[in-house]
Amino acid sequence: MLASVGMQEAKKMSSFRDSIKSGMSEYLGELKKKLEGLTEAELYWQASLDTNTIIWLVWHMARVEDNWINGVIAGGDSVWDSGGWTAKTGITSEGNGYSNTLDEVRALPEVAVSDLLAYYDFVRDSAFAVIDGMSDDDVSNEFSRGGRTITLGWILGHVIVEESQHLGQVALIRGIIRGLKG
Amino acid sequence: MPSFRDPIKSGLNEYYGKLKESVASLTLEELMWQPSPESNHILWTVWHMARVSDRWANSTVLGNDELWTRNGWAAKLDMPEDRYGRGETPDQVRDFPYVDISLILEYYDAAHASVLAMIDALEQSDLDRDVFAEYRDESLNIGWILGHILAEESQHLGQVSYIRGIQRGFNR
Repeated sequence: MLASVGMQEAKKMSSFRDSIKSGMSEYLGELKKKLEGLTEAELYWQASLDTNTIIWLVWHMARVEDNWINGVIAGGDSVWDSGGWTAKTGITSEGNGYSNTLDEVRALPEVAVSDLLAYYDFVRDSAFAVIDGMSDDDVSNEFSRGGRTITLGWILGHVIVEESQHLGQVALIRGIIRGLKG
Repeated sequence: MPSFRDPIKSGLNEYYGKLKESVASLTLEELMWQPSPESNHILWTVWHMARVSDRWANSTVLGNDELWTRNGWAAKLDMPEDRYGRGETPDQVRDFPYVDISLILEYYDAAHASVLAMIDALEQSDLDRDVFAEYRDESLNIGWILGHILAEESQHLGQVSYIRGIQRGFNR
């Protein structure tokens, strides 16, 4: 039987590193699909007063990957800073959204989701270059964050878990608004 | 020896630990609450997540029977042996049986452990091997499956925590 070229991009994996990159490609690809056709009202809709909007989640996801991989792991500037994305998007928040209050979530300025995805694509190109440049031994490198020690390996696993969680939330919010067939 | 196998296992343990936190102390009513008529509830989602881990590891990659049938979990939960969750209708989600979540988590503990054991047993040369997933009618690369398990399960975790957040409020 022929393999269908569905979710798998008919790509052969030859290392566990490829599996990690594949998981990352999967959540970003799915995110783009889940955003297709959403109106501004839908992007800024909150399921309750205490929940995040889709647009905030997209911005946060891109910033999270940027900070962890281009910032913490590579030890350089984030793409957000080096690419001048504060000016391009009008989002002046200096952090990545972690522990934002609900007022801050609601106060995210009007921004085109296509701009956030353009930023995310630059983040991703850079992140894959960082991952490709690592050796197996680097996986046990240690970093100090918020008073605890974490390894590079933990960070990579965490990035997929955290980003995919947020993707699942985007999908859920879309489903609440549009129903199963939306 | 460190390797890129480590982040995958670390991510699997992270999402699973967070799932346990996200369902802690929820009442049956909260577990079965749907934010909209076509949305899944938490209990259904957790059960489906356990089925996902079991099926990928034991059936699709290893070619064995699932723990669901082999270890009698379908019978213990009084559910059909072929029930998996993919493509279910809103009616099926709504009519999900009132099962004790601790039983589902017991099954999930075994399924999660089997995913980790499956990954430990893989050689690098296994990763580009294709396996046929009958229920999806497609052949999939084992290397792709590893990334996918992490992405799929974590997406569902995000839904569980979000549905909890709608009901209980921010960080409660």
